[in-house]
Amino acid sequence: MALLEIRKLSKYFGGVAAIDGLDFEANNSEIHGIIGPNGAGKTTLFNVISGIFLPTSGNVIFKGEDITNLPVHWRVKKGIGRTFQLTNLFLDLTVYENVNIGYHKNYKAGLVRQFFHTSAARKDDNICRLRTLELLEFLKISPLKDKLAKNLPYGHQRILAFCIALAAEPTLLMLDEPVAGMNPEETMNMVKLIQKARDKGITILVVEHDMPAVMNLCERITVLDYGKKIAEGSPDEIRENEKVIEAYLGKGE
Amino acid sequence: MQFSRVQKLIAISIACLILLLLPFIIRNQYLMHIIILSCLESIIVIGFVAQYNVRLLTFCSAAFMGVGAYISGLLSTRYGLNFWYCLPLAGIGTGLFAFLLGLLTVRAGWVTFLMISIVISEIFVEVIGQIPALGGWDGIIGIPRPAIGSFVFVSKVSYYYLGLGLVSVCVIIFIALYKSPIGKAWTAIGQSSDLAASLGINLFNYRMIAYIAASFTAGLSGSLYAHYSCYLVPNTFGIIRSLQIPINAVVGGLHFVISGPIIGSIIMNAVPELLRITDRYELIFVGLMIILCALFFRKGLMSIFRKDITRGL
Repeated sequence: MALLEIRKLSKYFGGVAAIDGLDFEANNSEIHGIIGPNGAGKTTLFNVISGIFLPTSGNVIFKGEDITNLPVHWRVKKGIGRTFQLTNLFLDLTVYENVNIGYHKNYKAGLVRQFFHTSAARKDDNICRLRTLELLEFLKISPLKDKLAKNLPYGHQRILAFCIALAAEPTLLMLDEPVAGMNPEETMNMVKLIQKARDKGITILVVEHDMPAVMNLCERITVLDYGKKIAEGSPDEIRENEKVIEAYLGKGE
Repeated sequence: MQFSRVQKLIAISIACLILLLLPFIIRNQYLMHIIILSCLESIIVIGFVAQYNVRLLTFCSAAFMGVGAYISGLLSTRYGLNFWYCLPLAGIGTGLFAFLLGLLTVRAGWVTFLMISIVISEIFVEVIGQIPALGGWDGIIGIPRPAIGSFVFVSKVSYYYLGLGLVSVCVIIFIALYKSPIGKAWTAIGQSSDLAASLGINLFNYRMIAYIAASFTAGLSGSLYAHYSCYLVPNTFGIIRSLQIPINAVVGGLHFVISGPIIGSIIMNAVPELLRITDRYELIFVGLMIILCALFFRKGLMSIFRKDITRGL
């Protein structure tokens, strides 16, 4: 059974179909790319999966459960995480504090226990602290931990956004243009980090425009155009696919 | 300026000492009266700042104080309950009122929330005024003073300690909240509610917590106010009063969630009295303070101590 199933999903904004009758599956521990020209519906797809938009018709099934109408924070609690196209960070907080808050949903102690600072709540705080430090080390940004997020260079901010999303310990992580605006070196670094996360067992959906990165990173790729799926397969298959080349890749690479 | 933990501890200890001995330093009864009112007001302002930090802007803080005051006043005059029962009941009652209101308004977006708070402010005064059973425009008189055994709180000094105690309770409640994961969630919501939501933080729940905590403490403050002035009129809790709360918050510093409100309340209340500024000129003073803070102390007066602060106590 696939981790994520999208069945006959449609999302209309007024008369415009952002997504049109899409069937899609993501399997465990794979890195699955979603590409397509601008306006193909990729970010809308992410928004529907994460719950920011409700679909016009169709179903979103996660771990066998129909989550089509669940609110955002419920989906997050079930294990769906995402990053955003525009880097969304807690700007006035340090890197450490940013990632710390990312872990928030995993607290076991309830609100009352948290208010009274019981030992259960303090244990949670300790675990949170350890996980945060582990995660900063995992993505190799420990040296940055006391820097304010707003003072970081762009590349580091994107890595931080990735780190925050990982802190929530998702099962499915959707990355919206993770390497946008990065130079080749930063891109290679990001690809390695994403692969490291996959190796830990997280399923990753990636929307990207950077073709070399996508080909390098993804095991399977789905291509969208005008809200419909026009091709799906391994990077090599997609590279050769005529429809894709026509719609998107244009001449050459 | 950065202070070490030891320095901060010493400063806080000295401040506490001064607070405890204040009635013996200040002999002027009228000034004591102002300070007591500042204490009660600072509780409301702390609540306002907590709500502000989760993107809930209210202009009905005084109305919530009024709800607490009237619950306490009515329970004591109509049903003979003594202050020590009225106080928690007033807090709980106001909290409940806020809870019901919040179910409708907290999800609605900050503009709607603000508009409704203004409406609540007006409605509160009108409703109390129009219903004779609630005291009407003439209000409630003869609210009994608090008593412990045979000791009745009459002097300003005794009320001061009562007020100080209440402020301490409210400060402790909010510090417990701010330092817990709840406080972290509040920070997250204040920084970027989209990101917070995408991390699984239930915006509604955490906003409600801030809203109810602020209203509960406002109710407590209102209750003590009722038993201090011993009479209540609805106009005291109108929108003008509500608007003084954000001003105190801004002057003190919105980023300093406990000390800002306290400093702000003290300055805006005590300074006019010390300088013997009378009625008309008081408004000029308020205006001047706002301009001063906007120009030189963007983050409030407490930012003298730390300019780079994101959130401090």
